[in-house]
Amino acid sequence: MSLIKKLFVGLMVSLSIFAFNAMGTSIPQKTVTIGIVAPVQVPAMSEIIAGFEGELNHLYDNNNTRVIYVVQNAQGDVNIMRSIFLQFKNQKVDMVVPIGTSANQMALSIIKNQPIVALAAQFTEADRAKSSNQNVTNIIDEVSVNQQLAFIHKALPKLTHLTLVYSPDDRIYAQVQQADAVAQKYGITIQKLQIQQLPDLYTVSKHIDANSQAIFILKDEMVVSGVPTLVKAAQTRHIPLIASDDGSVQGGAAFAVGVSERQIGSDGAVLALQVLNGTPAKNVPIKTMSNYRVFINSKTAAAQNVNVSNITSAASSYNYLVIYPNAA
Amino acid sequence: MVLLDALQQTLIFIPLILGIYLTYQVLATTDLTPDGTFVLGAAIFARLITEGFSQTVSIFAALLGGLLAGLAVCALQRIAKINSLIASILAVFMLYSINFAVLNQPNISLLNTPTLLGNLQNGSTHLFLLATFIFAIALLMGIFLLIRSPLGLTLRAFGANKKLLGKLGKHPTLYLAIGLGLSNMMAALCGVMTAQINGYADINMGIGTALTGIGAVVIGCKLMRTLFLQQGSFSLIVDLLGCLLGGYLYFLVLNVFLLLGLNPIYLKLFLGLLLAVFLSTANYSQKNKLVLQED
Repeated sequence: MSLIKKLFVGLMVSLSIFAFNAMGTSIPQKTVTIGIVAPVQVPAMSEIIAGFEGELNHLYDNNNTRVIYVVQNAQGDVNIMRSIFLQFKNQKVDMVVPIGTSANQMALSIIKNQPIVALAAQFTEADRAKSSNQNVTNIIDEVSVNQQLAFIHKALPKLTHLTLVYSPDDRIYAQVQQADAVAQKYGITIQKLQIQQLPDLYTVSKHIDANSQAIFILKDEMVVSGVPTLVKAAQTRHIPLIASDDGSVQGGAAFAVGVSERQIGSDGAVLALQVLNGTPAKNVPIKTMSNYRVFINSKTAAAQNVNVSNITSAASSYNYLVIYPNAA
Repeated sequence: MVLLDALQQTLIFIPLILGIYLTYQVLATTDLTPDGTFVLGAAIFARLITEGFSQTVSIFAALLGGLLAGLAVCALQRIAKINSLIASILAVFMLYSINFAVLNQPNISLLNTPTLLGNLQNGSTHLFLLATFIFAIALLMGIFLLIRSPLGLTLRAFGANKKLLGKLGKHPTLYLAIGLGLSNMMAALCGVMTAQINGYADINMGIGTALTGIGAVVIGCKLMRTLFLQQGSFSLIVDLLGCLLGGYLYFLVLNVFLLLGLNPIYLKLFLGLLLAVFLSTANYSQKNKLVLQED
């Protein structure tokens, strides 16, 4: 028998064994199995998942139910993501938790008989009302650009020229469109710089207008991955890098106004609990996060010509909690 | 269910696999453009159908988009004299901008838009599987008839010996254009089907699709030839069934890896290694000697 025939026979036997074994796989009784789907492997996803699991475990403290989390990562591959959802469907997991808009869209197409609790997806009450599959609830984490720019204007009142760096991410795009209109209200002109891929960030950082007074980034996975490049650009020009997430502040941005990733997961766990307690997902209101935080990196703020007291006083005027992620 | 899931995914992917068979095995050229035309098909379909056009018009426009992209790659190869692999990489690079312009945003949801496959998927699983199976068989038969036709034989002749084709009075560029056009049209069709069943078209949905297709074609065809044919002989039916088998094996392996709980960060590494093993062993003769292949 040739090598290739042996390989083929070996592979088919192994796959058949695994496949048939898998058919017989059953989920133990008196447990709740939750299938979580992260589209890519980034720190923000890990934070969301940690927040979800931590809060749900806490809420289930007085309950005899054992929660099993099956976390799968699609590695940015649409075929892998589909396989994951199909398996969750066939394994009859008690709840499916997709993270992000495209994962939620695919979940709604495939998962029909299990409740879906989406996290950080662009999916509103109006979308649910129109959807053929309404067995879903969601945590909307989209930070209002209006509120972000209002805060930035309050903290840096002399700011008139802002550079916005962004990628073609589905949820970022709509925010960028809004930013132009909102900025005019505060007398701010926005220079928009889009990157197609991470290596573009270095080139783009060299094209920030000479009169730009700050660099602004949204909760944009691709751009956030390259924060060190923008920190360098900001510090060279002695202007602040303003972010929208705590991770970027830990990475060197002067400050950020936004929501905590972990909080997205925690809020999602509250919705999940309602569903597990018997409320149909379609009757659980979709929640928009509004509990904003201001994250400050005191060390880099100084290097980026930012007076921290201006930031904290702006935060207190909006009743935003101030957090120093880099503090020991 | 794992076996059925893998079959379902294969049937949806069949147009792309057959398109890649046309370029990789029949024309004997490497074309990675399906990474971009897959998205282009999905994007044109999603944009038009959400703008109120009928499904038929949207699908035909998507197919036309794929065809034009294939012709553009042919122009890059033959007019601009760019190496086939580089031309396709360049095409994918440019298609990113075109796809973005077509979508006009990074993602279009089709959840609230009735589509043929979406409706079938919402109904009976078996009916969905049956419909996609019949469609895949029809496509296989279509490709079978095409390759058996005088046009198909000329396409095969292009893959076997371009210079001889020229000496026989045929224009090689014409046949390359037909092959690439058809191949990318089928990739666009696969994009349309994927958008319908996944419920969205996304700017990043095409990453790695061409490699998946090439892997399926190479594994399937080599396996079927080794199992059912004598060395050096050719059977179109065996090859086409090999495409189906290759796709099925790919998705079965993917599903089994996920079931085994393989750490997701290693999933692509293991799939890549598996492909490498098959590609490598396929190039060894029975005496375990490396068979040198003409580039």
